[in-house]
Amino acid sequence: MESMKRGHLAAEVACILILILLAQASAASVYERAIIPQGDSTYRVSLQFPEGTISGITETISSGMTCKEISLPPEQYRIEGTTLFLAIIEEREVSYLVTGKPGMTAEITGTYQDMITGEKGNLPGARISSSGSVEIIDAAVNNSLPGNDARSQHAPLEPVLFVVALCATGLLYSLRRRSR
Amino acid sequence: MKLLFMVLAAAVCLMIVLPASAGLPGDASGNDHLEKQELVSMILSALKDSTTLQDARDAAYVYSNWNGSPKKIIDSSGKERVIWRPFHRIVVMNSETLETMRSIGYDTSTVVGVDKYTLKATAFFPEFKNTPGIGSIWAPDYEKIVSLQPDAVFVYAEISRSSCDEIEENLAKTSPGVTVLRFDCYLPESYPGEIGILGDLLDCQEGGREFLEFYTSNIDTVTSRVAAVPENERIKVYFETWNDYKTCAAGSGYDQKIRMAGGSNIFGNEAGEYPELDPEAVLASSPEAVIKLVGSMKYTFGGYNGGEEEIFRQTHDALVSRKGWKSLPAVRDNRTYLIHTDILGGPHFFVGVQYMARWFYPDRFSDLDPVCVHAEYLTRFQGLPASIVEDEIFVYPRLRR
Amino acid sequence: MDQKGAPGDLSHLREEYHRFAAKRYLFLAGCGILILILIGIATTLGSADLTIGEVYAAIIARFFPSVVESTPLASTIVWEYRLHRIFFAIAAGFGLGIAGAVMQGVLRNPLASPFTLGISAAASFGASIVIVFGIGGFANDIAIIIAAFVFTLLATFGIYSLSRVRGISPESMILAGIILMYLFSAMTSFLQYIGTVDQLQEVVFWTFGSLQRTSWGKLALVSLVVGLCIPFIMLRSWDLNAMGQGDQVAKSMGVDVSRTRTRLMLIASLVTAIIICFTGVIGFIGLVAPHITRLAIGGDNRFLLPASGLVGGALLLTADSLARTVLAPAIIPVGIMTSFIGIPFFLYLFLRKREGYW
Repeated sequence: MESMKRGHLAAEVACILILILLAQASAASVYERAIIPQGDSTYRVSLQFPEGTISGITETISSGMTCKEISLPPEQYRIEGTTLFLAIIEEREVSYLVTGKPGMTAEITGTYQDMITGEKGNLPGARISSSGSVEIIDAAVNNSLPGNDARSQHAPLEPVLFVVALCATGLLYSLRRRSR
Repeated sequence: MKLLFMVLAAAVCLMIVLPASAGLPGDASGNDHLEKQELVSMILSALKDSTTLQDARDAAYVYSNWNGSPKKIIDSSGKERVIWRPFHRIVVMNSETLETMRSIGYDTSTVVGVDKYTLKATAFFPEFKNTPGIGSIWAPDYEKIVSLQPDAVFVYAEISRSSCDEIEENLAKTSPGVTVLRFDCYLPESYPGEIGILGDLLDCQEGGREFLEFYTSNIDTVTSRVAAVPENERIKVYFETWNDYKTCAAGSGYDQKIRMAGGSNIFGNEAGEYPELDPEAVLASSPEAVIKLVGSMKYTFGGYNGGEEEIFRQTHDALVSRKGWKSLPAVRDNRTYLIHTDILGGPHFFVGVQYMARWFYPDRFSDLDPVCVHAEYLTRFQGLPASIVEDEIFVYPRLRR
Repeated sequence: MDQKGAPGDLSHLREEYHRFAAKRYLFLAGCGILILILIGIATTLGSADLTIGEVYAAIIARFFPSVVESTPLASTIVWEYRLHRIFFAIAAGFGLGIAGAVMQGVLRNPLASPFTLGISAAASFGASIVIVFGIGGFANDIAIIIAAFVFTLLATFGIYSLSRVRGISPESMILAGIILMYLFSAMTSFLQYIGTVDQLQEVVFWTFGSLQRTSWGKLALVSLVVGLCIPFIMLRSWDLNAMGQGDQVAKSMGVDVSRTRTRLMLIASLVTAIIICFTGVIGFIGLVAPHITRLAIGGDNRFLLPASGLVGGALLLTADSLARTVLAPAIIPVGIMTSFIGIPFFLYLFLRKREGYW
C-alpha cells in the first residue's frame, strides 16, 4: 500500500513536470527563427509567423554587425543602431540580411509583443560562432538545442513530450482507479 | 439630488484618468478607418513606449476583427451605437443581459461592475459574487460606476425607460467616453434579435448563432404545435403575479409568454400592464388554469436561491382554498400551478413557456421535457451544474417525469 | 356664533337655535339615508355580472334559506367579497372622518389631519419596514398590519411627548406632528431607496390605500374600536366647543384643556391607526370630510363630529364603489379615487360659501 502510494506520487510529479515542460515548449514555439549562411560573413535571418499574426518585433544584433534587405515595406520597420523594430501585419515570414566581420562571434536576440493575444516573450535566439557555424537558441526552455545545420534547428521535441505526457496521464489515471 | 450626483461624478472624473474619447485608436488621418500604415506606426511606437501599448493592441484588434472600421450596431432602444475599440471594462446593470452574455459564450471577465440583483443571485451568478455592485437601474451609484472606469455600460431599453434614459444622459454628460448600450433580453418579441446583436457587438457571432438555434428550436416546438389549436379552443388562463389579484395584461412579457404557450389570458385586455383585479372578477371569469408567479415579495422562495417544497405546498393550498375558488374549473380539475420567476421572467423564460405548454395541453406536449431543456441550458450555456434543476424547485406541483 | 341678536330677545334666539338644530338633525338623517342607499347600490356593483335580483336573493337566502334560492357563486361573491368590503368602507370612512374632525377641533387648525400630523407617515414607515426587510411568507401580511399600527402609536406618543416639553398647545402639537411627518417620510424614502423595485412598488401601493384586503374579522375589529371610541369623543364634544373659543375661554368654563386635548388626540390617533393599518394611507377623508360637514352645518362639534363620520363613510364607500367599477375588472386604489370625488365636491362647497366658515 505504502509503495503504491509512493509510486502514485512519483507519477504525479513526473506528469506535472512534463506538463510544465510541454507548456513552456509550446509557449516558446509561437514564432520560429531560421538563419542561413550566405557566405562572406553574411547570413539570412528569417522569422516565421502563424496566420493572422499582428505583432511587434524587436531584434537586437551584436555590435559590429549591420542589417539590410529587410523583406518588409520601408515604413514597416525601423533600424536604430543594432536594434531593429518590425511591425508584423499578417505576414507569414520576414527575413533580413546581417553582415559581420570574418571570424567574429555574434548573437541575435529578439522579443515579440503579440498585439492580438497580448502575449510577450523572447524569440528564439541565434548564435554565430567564429568558425561561421550557426545555432538557434530556444528562447523559453533556455537550453540550446545544438544543430549542425541551421535547417534542423527544431528537433521534433514537442510531439515526443506530448506522447510522454499522455502516457503519464494514462498511468496516473490507472493508478488512481486501482487505489480506489 | 441629480445635480449633486453630477457634481460628484464630475469630481471623480477629474481625479481619474479621463476615458479615451471617441475615435478609432491610431486613426491618425481621422477618416474613421484604420489603414495598415496607421496600425504599423502604432505598433512601432508601442515597441518603444509601452504606455501606448493598449492603444496599439486595440488598433490591432480593430484591424484584424473589424476590418479597420468602427463597429456600428443598433441596440434595442433603436439608437445606432458606434464602438471604436473593443471593450475591456464593462458595467452590466441588467442581469438579463449578463445572462445572455454568458449564453453566447462571451468572456465575462471584462465585467467590472454589476447591479445589486446580480449580486443577490449568488446561486445563478456565482462568478460575480465579489464584483463591485453599482446599485440598480432605479438607484444607480454614479460615483461607483464612474470610478470603475468602464468603456461600456449596459442598461435596459424598455424596462423603466425613464430611469435608463436618465442614466444614459448622466453618463453622457459626465463620462463621454462611455458607450451606453441598451438591451432588455427578456421580451419574447425582441429577444432573438438581441441575441444576434449582442453576438455581433461582443464578437461572439458563433456562440450567438449556437444559442439562438437552441432558443428558437425550443420556442418553435411550442409555438408550432400551439398554432394547431383554434383560437376559441384555447385554455382560459388566470395569471397572478406575486401580488395577490394582480394580473398581467397586453404589453407585459408574461402576457406574451402565456399566449406563446397557447393560453388565452383572461384579463389580457385590461388597461395597464399589471392591473389589480377585483377578486370577484376572478371568480366570475371561471379560469380553466391558474398560474401563480412566485419568487418575490411575500412569495420569496424557491428558484436558484433555494427553498423547501413545504412552503410551495402551503402557498398552493392557500391559493386553491381562497373563498369560492373550489368551484373554479381550474381548481376542480387540479390545474393550478406555481411557477418561479427565475424560469419565466428572465432570459430563459422559454423553460417556463414549455412548462406552461405542458400544463395547458398535456396531450399535445406529453413528450416535452422542460426539466431536460432547463438542464441543457444550464450546462451548455450557463456553465452551471445540471443538478440544480433536480435540487431546486421551479414549479409546483413538480412535473412527473 | 349663534349668540347674535339683541340681549333679552330670548324667544327669537331659541327659535333660531331650534331652526339650526333641526337643520343639523336633518343633515345627520340625510347622511344616514344616503349611506343606506349607497349600500344598496354598492352591493349590486362589481365585476361579476350578477343581476340586482341575484344579489338580493343571495343576501336574503343567508337569513331565510327556505324562502329564496341563491347560487353558490352569487352567495360567495356577495358575502365573501362585497359585503364586508362595503361595511368596512363605511366603518373606516366614519372613523377617519370623526378622527379628522377631532384633530381639527382640538388643534383649532383647518389643516390638521392624520395625514398632516405624521401619523400616516409613521404607518407607512412601519409597513415599509416589513415590506423591505420582511422574511416573506404568510406572516408578512400580519406583520405589516402590526408594524403600521405600532408605528402609528409611536408617532402619537412622539407628538405627545414632544409637545409636552413646550406645553400642550395646538401650535406645539402641530409642530411636533410636522417634525415627525418629515422624519418618517425621510425614513420611508430611505427604505424605498435601498429596497428592490418590487418592494418600492409595494410601498407606493400601500400608501395609495386599498380596501382589497378586508375581511369580516377585520371589519369586526375596526367597528369595535371605532364604536368604543365614539361615546368617549361625543361626551367631550361640549369641551371641544369651548376649546374652539380659545384655551382661556375653555379654562374659564371649567374645561381641563390639556387633559382633554391629550385624550382626544390619543383617541383620534388610535382610531386612525386601527383603520389605516388595514387599508394603507387614506389620508384625504380625515381632512376633507370635516370640512364638507362644517361648510354644510357649521362648527358645533356635537353635530360636526358624528356628521363628519357619516360624510366620511359615504365618501369612502362611494370612492371604493367607483374604484371597483370604473376600470372593472381592474381596481383603482381607493386613496386615489377618494381625492377624485372628494375634491370637486369640496371645491363646490368652498366656492359657494362666501363667508369664512372656519
